[in-house]
Amino acid sequence: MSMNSEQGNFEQLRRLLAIKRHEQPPLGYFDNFSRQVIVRIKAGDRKGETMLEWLFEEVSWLGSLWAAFEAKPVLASSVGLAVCVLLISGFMYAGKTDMPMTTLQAQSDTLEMASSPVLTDSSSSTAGFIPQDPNGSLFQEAEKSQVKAEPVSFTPIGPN
Amino acid sequence: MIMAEPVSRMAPKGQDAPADAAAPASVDEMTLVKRARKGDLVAYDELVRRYQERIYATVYHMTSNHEDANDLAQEAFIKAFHALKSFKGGSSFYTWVYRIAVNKTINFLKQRKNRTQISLNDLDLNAEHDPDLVALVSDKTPRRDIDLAELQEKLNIAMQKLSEQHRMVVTLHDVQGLSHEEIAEIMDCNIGTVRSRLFYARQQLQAYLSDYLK
Repeated sequence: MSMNSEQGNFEQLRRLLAIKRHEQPPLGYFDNFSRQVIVRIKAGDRKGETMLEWLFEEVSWLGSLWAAFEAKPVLASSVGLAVCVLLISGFMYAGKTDMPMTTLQAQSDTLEMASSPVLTDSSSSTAGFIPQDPNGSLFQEAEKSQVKAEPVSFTPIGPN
Repeated sequence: MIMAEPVSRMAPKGQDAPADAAAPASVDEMTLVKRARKGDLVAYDELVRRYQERIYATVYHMTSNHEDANDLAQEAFIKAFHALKSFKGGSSFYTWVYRIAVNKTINFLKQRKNRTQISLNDLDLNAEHDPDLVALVSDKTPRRDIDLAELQEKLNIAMQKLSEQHRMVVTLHDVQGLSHEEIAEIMDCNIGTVRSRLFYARQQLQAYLSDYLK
């Protein structure tokens, strides 16, 4: 198709598109349009607004950032790549530091056990019978059961 | 909202303004914008009146549906009001609102995908006397039996087959008469992209409507 015939056809198309300019809304439609807009603004109507739009409106720098990303896909890709690299390196670092942390934890547990006071003596005959709770001691048990100790006169038997 | 003092009518109302009045008095516009930013709904009402026809028309030509165009145009103005604080004045308010309406419409059409429901406005009485249309529906047209209403429907169906970006360029340039520079600013792309999209869109339309074009 030659350039001239293309222009000729576009001329026909241009004429056809003139129809669109004659498509008009019902008579008087624009008389109430602005009033309806104002009424909806007064009523706080934000129908049709997505959460993302609302967020971009409230946090203006976020909207600007998004617009910049849309306008420059290279920038969006670069930022995305940087975030990925940061995440991956973060995971790798966390993986490396996991082992020493576990060892350190185990060592500190051992030290803690060694330095804590011994409540029970495994060599004692009462080992295992001494209650952990001081309220539950044998002396208190005795008090509870009203056991009274009386002095006993004891005369040792001598050779005369 | 605070209702401030009424704003004097500095320019003709939107519905009386010529369709190609793309550069309203910027000082007056900025005054209105400043007042509207402070919550002056009278000032904002004036701004809406100035641009309502063009915003509505753009959305309508994109959707080919009066009800959708009504909702989207209103929502665009509501969104613009709430976002006024972020309007820095780098471009005209007109371009800024246009951009909001264009983005809103494109998002709507993407969500709607192929569920196109055409609800066309009637042609006005001047259509029959338009020299372009008279020339079109003449002995030069292969389908000379076709009437304007049918042509209107075929044209809208063909428009809906275009991608949103291509349809927008055709609408803004060939229907609304905006310049390549204005379209580039509104669509946030360079002029070369506008030109290439326009060429491609015209080719596509031409192919879809070949039965009705010589």
